[in-house]
Amino acid sequence: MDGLLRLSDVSKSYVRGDRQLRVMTDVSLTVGRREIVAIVGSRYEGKTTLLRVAAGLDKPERGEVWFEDLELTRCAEQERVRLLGKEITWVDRGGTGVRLQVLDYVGLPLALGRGHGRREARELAMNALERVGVADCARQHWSDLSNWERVLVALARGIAPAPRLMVVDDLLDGLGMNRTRDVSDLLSSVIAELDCGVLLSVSDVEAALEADRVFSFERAKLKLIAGQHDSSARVIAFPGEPRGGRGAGGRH
Amino acid sequence: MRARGGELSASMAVLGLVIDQPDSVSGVSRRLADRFPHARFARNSAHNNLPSLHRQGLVRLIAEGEQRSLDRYEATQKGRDRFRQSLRESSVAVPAVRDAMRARLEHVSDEADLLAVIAAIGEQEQACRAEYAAAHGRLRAAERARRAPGASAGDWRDAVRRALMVDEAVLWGTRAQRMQRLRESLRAEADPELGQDRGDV
Repeated sequence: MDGLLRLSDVSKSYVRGDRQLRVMTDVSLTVGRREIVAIVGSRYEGKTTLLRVAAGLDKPERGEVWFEDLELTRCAEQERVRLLGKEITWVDRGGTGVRLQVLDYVGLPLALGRGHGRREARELAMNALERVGVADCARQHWSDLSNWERVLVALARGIAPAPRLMVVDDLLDGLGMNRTRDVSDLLSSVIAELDCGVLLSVSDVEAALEADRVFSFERAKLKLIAGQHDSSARVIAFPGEPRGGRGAGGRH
Repeated sequence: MRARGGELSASMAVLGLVIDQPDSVSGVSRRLADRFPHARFARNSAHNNLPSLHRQGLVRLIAEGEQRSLDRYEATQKGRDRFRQSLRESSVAVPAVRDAMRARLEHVSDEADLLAVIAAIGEQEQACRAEYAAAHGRLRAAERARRAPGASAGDWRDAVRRALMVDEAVLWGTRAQRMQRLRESLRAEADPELGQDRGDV
């Protein structure tokens, strides 16, 4: 099977009263290792639904979703739960309703049934916070963070378990050119270190510029708008070398 | 030589290119098309503007060619000063919006017109997407080079070049999005059945 993640002819709709809202029709997509694939579009076009299906959080009505050699659409709930938060991480700016310290917010998914003790989880969380340059936020609470710090903390939460696939929902929108460049550099170097792939959704075309391939929805169909169609045909620029340069570093 | 608000005049673009390097009329003409491919300056812009800039003392003729297109010019100090002044002057004027598609929509008078304009918007959207894809590809290549092992950190000029590349991709990407939104909303108006089943979730 080509690619880390493969969606094949996936369809999903919601029923609202006597109406059926088609969200995705025959969507096919792959994400390879060290590849960033972006879905760009306005809100309410189905981007998050696609990401949730790709992450195994929702089931499609039709089609297959494969994560490496495991079919997420058919595997047991227990297996999907095991994957999520470990092999596949979900990253957004949502934060948590619970008043946790950032260190616990990042470490919690590692401790919850995924084989790490609290101390180990906190250590991994701290490493991740350091990696993205916000270690000094560790003792703060989510509500005390700036928007930029939230982006970096969310990213730290995504990379802490060293996943093979990160699914990033609306994290990079509206950051402006310099911040977008910083977070893009960071994402790029992190995926090289982890040898993972990234599927992200954005509203802002600028935020999609780091992606190797960019898709958008049109009438529930997915269209490639930039990059090569086949991820397996993509040549990684510098084999064996990390793609990344400088990290995002500072906090503001 | 003053451009309309927000627009780059052909004479200013020509003067800037001659300041970059002395060149023949045909050389400037070629570079004008390369550097500003989307400005759609007239093909004879360099041919017309260099003699005019010469008369104003902004460029000087340094070698006469066998044909006018081979005449070589370089910028004078006055030309450099004028260009610098123009580069730095404040620009408060809102750029003129002369979007043909808006004008066409203003004059739609029946359903056949509307369907034709929707099709034209779709074509323009595809053209903008193609430009976005090309700009995205150029940016990705530049980013790979920037991140290559051993690549130099770059200076402010590199930062400006990158900002221009990002801006170009964003410009075409947002134009394509705008066309898509316009086309979809018009299509929903033209045919409510079509408008109902979009993925609005």
